[in-house]
Amino acid sequence: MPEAKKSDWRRRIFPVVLTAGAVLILIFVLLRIRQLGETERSDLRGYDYLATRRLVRLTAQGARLLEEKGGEAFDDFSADPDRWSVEGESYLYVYDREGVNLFHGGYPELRGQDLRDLTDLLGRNIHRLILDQLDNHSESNPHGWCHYLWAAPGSLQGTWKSSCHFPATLPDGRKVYIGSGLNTPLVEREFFRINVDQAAEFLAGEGTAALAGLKDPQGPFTIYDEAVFVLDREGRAIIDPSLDLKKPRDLFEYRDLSGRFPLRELAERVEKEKTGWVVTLSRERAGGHPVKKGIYGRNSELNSKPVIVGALCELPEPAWMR
Amino acid sequence: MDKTQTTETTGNPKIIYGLDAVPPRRDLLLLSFQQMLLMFTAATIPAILVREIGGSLQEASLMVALTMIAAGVGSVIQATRTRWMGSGYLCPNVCGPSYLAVSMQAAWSGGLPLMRGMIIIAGVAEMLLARLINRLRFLFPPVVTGLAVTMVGVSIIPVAVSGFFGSRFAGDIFGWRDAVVGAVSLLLMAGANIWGKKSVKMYCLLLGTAGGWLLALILLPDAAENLSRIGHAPWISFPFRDLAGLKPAFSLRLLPPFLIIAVCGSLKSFGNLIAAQKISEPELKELKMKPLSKGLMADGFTTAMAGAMGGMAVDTSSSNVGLAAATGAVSRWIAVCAGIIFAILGFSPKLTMAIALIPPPVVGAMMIFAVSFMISTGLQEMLSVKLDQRKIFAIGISLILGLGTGLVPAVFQAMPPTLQVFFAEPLSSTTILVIVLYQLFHLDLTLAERRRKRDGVGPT
Repeated sequence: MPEAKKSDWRRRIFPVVLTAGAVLILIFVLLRIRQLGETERSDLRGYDYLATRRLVRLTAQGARLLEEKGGEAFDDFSADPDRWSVEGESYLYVYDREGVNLFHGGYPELRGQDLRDLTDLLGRNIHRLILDQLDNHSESNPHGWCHYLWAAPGSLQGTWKSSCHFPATLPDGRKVYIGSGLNTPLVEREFFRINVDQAAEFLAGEGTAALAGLKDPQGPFTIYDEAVFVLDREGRAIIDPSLDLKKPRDLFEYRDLSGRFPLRELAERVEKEKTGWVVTLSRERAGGHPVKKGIYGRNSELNSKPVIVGALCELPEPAWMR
Repeated sequence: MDKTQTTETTGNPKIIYGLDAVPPRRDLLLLSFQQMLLMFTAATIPAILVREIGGSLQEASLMVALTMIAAGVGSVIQATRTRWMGSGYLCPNVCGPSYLAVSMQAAWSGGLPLMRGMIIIAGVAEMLLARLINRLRFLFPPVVTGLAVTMVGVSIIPVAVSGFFGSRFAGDIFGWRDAVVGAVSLLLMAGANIWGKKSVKMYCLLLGTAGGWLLALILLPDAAENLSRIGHAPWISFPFRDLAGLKPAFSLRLLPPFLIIAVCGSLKSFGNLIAAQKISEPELKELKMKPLSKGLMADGFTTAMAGAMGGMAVDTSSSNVGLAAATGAVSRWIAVCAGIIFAILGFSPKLTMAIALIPPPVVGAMMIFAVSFMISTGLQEMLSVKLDQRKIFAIGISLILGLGTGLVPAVFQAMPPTLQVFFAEPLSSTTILVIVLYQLFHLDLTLAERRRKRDGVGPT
């Protein structure tokens, strides 16, 4: 074929190939998005860490497999433990609603055991905590997060661990739940968001009777050694973020190390948008290095008076920032 | 304007489109798009700042949009040679990480108005420095500018590498799938650049980005999930809503750190402009100072303009200069076109989001690709003169102590606050040190030279 005809042929065919390629890629992309499924497309943007997002996705996939295959799914979980683990840092477990373990990827010897009365180091019943989150708080906590203090190997004081959970109905009609957590906890801001939202709801519902439960260091509203705090609209602490004082502090006067008034800022945000985050620079102890922390707060009511419920939390440190 | 400046007309095999060449429409659009993609890698920095100070998503989006518009306009100003400003080189503007730390400090202590005000001051300081650059030329011999250019590249390493491995936060898992995506993207880019012929070589970044993105859709669930979010973003949004909210504030206390960063930013841009000049006009035997001075003026003006508009400080982009070197497309019209596209994107959240959703490992690969050229250019510049003991110690001590601020930060964090300002991070500390040490170690020679001139004796 003469050169001129060859290049003419190439010039004509190239746009066609390019267009066909683009269309195929578009179809592939749309199919891939669809393939991910509803649970995986649920909002994982609230999580900072890649490990957390992978954990939630894996657990959701496990729940779907349980609903498809029932007990046979346990063989899949056992046959390929790496597939069902986040880089070897997690394992799946499945319990029925009576607290009997049906599958345990980390401690297989627990299979068949009745663990409904299992408590963490603070005396909290873990099974009841999980059921409460799944049954009563699926809106504020769509991935069923529970936090407990456990005696991790090598740990003297106990280590906090967080696990996500999904309900599943097996083909034989049995209702179970599947869960998983990272061996090395990564503290997400989302955990504190969920905790504060539930605390706000609890306070609005129970009034003054709720305060003891919110303050209780062994109660369900204390996670990662941080309890919630409650302020009135004038900044007076009803539950102080740190100290149980006889005379409440005026926390609007609290000025952090950068010179800001974080709780005043929080109140302004909450006033406008009902919820809000602020960042504060504080010192954990005298002479210690300044530490950046986040404060999440939201509107609530105490005996029909508006209050702010909030909590402090650690912030993830960007891998590239010192 | 010579529209036909190509390899054939310039005689330089490395240049495909010369400085004043106007590439054909298709090439111009694709090359501009490629440059614009790289400009986008820095677009998340304003969002990071707002997030760090506890701002809302809306505030973050607004800051990103305003910064993009300022960067786009600044790129056009930089590329066009006016009487007062603009180097005329392909040296686009982006939101630079060098201002991030001080901007965060200002935003923390006085909110965004204080950050804006101090950025305006820093921009004006850069413009004043630009007027003096010719007189201060003795401070910037090849050893100093070469090291500054190298450190500019080095300063991007943390962001590039963490993105390459998909790790945003310390303590997160190692994403091997992310690493595979990053590696494949980088290999595609490098391979296309090394072995590709004209078009493949020119569009190496686009090819690597597209290939990496496709692979990410297969391997990374985040990538596909993020794409589905584009549908929710509006097509057009006007960021200039509340002009009263743009009122700046000022603080004397923050003047020293901002002035130091302004000097470092100027040096960084000086390094970028030198690199751009060398790439665009390789036949020059020595630096042509006038375009460099006007380039710095444009840089300072754009920084001040960004602050006045409500965005973050912008400065010239080393990665984009590196990309131009890699592709051989150094036409300033590419920068003009890229700047216009970038500024327009600031008004379209949907289009902005589509580009912002390039998977982090692919973004990391893009940055590593471009910064490779930057670091090599700096090293070449440094080694273009014979190194005697004076230069060796000026380079060595500056590099060791400068990099030390990044490798052993705890030591420098214990310094008194007045000293900490000078040792905040590797780029600024290395640059300041090498300028000071070079003059110190050459003091006897400088004094001897002045004595000779005073006595009317010829140079030795």
